[in-house]
Amino acid sequence: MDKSIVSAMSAAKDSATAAEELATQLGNNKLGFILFFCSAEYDLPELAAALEEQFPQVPKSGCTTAGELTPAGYARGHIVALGFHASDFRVAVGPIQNLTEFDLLQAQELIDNLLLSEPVYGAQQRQSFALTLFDGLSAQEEVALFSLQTALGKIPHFGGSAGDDNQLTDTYIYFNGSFHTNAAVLLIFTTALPFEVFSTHHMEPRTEKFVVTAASDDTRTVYELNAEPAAEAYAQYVGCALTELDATVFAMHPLAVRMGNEYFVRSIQRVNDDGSLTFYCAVGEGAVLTAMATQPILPDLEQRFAEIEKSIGEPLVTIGCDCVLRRLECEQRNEVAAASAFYRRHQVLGFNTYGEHFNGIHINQTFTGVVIGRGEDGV
Amino acid sequence: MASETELRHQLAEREAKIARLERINQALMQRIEQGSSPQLNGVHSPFTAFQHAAVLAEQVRERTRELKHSADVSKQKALAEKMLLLQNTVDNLSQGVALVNGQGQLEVWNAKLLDLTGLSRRQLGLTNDFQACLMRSALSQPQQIFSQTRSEQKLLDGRTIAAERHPLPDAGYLLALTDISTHVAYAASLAESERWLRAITDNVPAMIAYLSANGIYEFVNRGYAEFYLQPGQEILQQHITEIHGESGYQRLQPYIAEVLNGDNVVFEITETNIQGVSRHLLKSYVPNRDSAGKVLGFFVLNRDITERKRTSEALRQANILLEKRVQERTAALSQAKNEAEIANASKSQFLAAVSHDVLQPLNAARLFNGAMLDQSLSPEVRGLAQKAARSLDDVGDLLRTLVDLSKLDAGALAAQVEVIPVDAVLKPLADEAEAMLASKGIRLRLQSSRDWIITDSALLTRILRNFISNAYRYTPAGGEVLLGCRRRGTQLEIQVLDTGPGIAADQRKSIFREFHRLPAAEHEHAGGLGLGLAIVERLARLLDHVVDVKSKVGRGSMFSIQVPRQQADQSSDRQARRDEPSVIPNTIQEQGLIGVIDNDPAICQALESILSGWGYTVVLAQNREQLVAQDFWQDRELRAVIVDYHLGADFGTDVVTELLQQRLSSAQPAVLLLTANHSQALQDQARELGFELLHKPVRPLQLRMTLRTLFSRSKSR
Repeated sequence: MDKSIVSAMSAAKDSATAAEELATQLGNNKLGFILFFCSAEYDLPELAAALEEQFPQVPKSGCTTAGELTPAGYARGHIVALGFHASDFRVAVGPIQNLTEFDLLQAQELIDNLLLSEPVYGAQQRQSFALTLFDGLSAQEEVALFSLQTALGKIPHFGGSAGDDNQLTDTYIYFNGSFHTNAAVLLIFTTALPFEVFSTHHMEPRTEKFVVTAASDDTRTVYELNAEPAAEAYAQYVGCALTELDATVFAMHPLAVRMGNEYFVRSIQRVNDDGSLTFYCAVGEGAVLTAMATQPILPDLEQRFAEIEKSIGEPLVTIGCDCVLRRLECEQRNEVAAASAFYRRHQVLGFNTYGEHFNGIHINQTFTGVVIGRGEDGV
Repeated sequence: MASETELRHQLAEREAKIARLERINQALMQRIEQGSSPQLNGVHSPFTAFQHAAVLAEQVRERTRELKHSADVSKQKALAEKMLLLQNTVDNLSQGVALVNGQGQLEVWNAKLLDLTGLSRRQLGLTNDFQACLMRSALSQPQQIFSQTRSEQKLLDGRTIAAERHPLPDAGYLLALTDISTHVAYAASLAESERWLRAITDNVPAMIAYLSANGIYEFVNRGYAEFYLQPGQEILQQHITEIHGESGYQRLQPYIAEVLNGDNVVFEITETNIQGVSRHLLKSYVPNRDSAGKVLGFFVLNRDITERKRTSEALRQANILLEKRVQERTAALSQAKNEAEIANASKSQFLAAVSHDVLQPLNAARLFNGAMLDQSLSPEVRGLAQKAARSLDDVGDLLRTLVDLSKLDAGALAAQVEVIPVDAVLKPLADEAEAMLASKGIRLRLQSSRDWIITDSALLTRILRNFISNAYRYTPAGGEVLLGCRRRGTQLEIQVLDTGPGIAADQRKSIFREFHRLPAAEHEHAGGLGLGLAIVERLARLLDHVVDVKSKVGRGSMFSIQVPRQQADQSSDRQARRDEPSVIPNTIQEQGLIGVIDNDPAICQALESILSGWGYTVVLAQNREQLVAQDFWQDRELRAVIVDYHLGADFGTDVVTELLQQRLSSAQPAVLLLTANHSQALQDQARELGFELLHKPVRPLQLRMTLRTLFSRSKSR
């Protein structure tokens, strides 16, 4: 029997070999769509050509990562792929070429076209969810996602921003046979199988608050917190020297913006030479950042998955966008093996992001994704 | 005490802090103000976009939660119902339907599709590529479905499937499969019957066409085409003027108008065929009506009757000739018939003349001869005179016989059939014959019977008398003649047996011819001319009785006649007895009042003496006046009236009818009409009136039996 979703991974550094291995694992099934996440270490033009050679007729989309969630668990420098069987999934691919000029009008047009291609008949049992992959260094997520959110309406949405293994130089989005920067892709999955889109994190608010008094939200740079140089103020709060600030510190001491009853983590990407901080997401002047206390990530994940599996049954696959900082946390806490085991158990595949998307909101330091069930008849 | 430097420092610190707080305050206020107008100048700042996205997501989440149990549920339900309705509709189609999307995947299908493709539900359910799946189906040419929009497929079970592929805007298509086996079979049979119809109409020796009401040819058979058209010339969808020309059309126009009016039209017309030969046609126009009676067009049936007309003309000529010949022959025949009739009439006239003109002098001769015998004569002369008397008797007999024969031949004699006891015929005959036979020394034996027979007693008597005189003639002295009867089924055979020389078998038929005599009697005195049996044969034919002769040479002959028997005393046949009142029960009392009306007083007295001798009381009347004057008419006991038909000026029938109408009693007497008139008309009248009719002279026994029959009838009524 054909599986609705087949997964594959390759550790091969050579693009051709990697693509070949993927093809072998995915089989020559009639796949309707291939979603992949690859390390930015690959020679991307080569990889694109190899994939095109192996899967000439199959629409493909994907992005570079800051680490992969493979069938074996956490990995780096690998490529992981999911093959979606056409009998169960219809995937509409909406490329967004020029992110900086992407507005609501374009968003509406794009989504209308994608939804139009969705056939009317047989839709009674089917539902759609949207997956977005963004150039993780474009800094366009907030505006573009807001437009997409408006146009998507009630279609559940999640996604992630591409990574480049913490090099912070270039992240790429793959569609139409090649890798692109300053680009994004909107994928609309339609299936009769049950699914649930979710986002979770594992943090509790602390009492410390910071008001952003000088920032450039276009460049996601915060110059001042509480009218003091941002890096200094943050280092003071963490209790370490300015020079000690690194990704792991950022991961362990996140800051969040409270909107309503929710806290949205605004992760720090790096410390700049001028003492400012660059974030993974937009932070504007006047924003109130709350210091967050991190917890072990697994209990929260376990609890969340338990809830979801209660409603949709055993997962067929989970596509996960796991923030790169969470992975750093895990490494810091020596939880990588446990997390990998958990991901294997729950068929989690995905990648480590430079930011996650959930229902049009750009967020950080979360696990965001979709759990796809096996369906009642077990097909 | 803090130094001034310290104080300055503290102040500077506080000022800096205040400045920071002011900056914080400013940033917060700015954020709050921005937050309320997210699309300042139509452009989002990223963070504002994030804020709004978050707020919006929260709102959507809440809204979604709210709707989850109401709108979404009902919407999904409605959608599901719609889909169910759609699926039901699709399932109820007699066609197999498959809706395939742009990716070649099956979206919607129905159960009939399985039947018409031979694919299983499982195969369809699992397939991701409907086209590939269809290639494995039972359809004969599945690739044609994709190469052309319409194709015909065969299934292994012989069914024919029409496949239609309708492209859809999303590059998908709708495939409809229809079982057209019956269509195909029907079309085949239609084509077959059309071929037959064409073959039949083409081979019918007539010209057949069909024209629409506006005069356009829609069908012609070969005969029609051959008559009017050049080979290959097109006629269908042409107007009638194209074929017949304007003038031809003008000639046909009145008939066409008539047939379009709804009437059948038959007419003869001369037309020229395509070879330029003039032919005589018998044309029939029959209107074709729709169910509403509107004339849609008309059928044309032309028969070339040129030959037939020629033939019938020849026949007519032949007929005229034949009739002429028949007339000639008829004339010749009627001439011959006239001549024959004249000859026959002259023979009858001769015989009639003979009977009158010859008998008269003969009578005179006999009277004179009788007178001479009354004189005292010498024995010699007396002997001569007696011989002369005998000769005269013979001549008289001969002449009477001849007259009878001529009468029979002319059909002047009619049989008067009645029911009589055979005794009433045989007894008097025996009495009469006994003396004659005795004179020759022949003994007569009579074996009579109680049977009643249906015959004319006078004619039967003459037949039997002939038999007896024949026996007398051929039986030598000392011989014996037996007159007897024997039942033969419904017949009574009356036989006359003699002990004469017998008749040879080869003679037995010819003896019934005229003037035929057997040589054995020739030595005897002139006993006749041999006319007797010829008369017997004619009389028997008249009575429809069968005459027969049996003979043994040297032993004797038997002449017989079979007469229908009235089956009277057959006790075995009670049914017949009940139905036949002519059976005479012995219980009939010979008593009561009988009126006798006759203008001959001698007859009145003779009847009175006879009837009173049987036990009846008799009242006499000689005419109408005497009858009316008497009151016996009203007597309730009046049983019968015996009336003469000729009562002077009156007819007995009229008188009796009139008086019976005046009678008060409901009991009507039987009426017995006596007459010498043998006419059929009178017999019919008597039957109509319910009167019994007896011809004169009446023999007493006949009268007695008739009366008893009448009384038994009236009693049984």
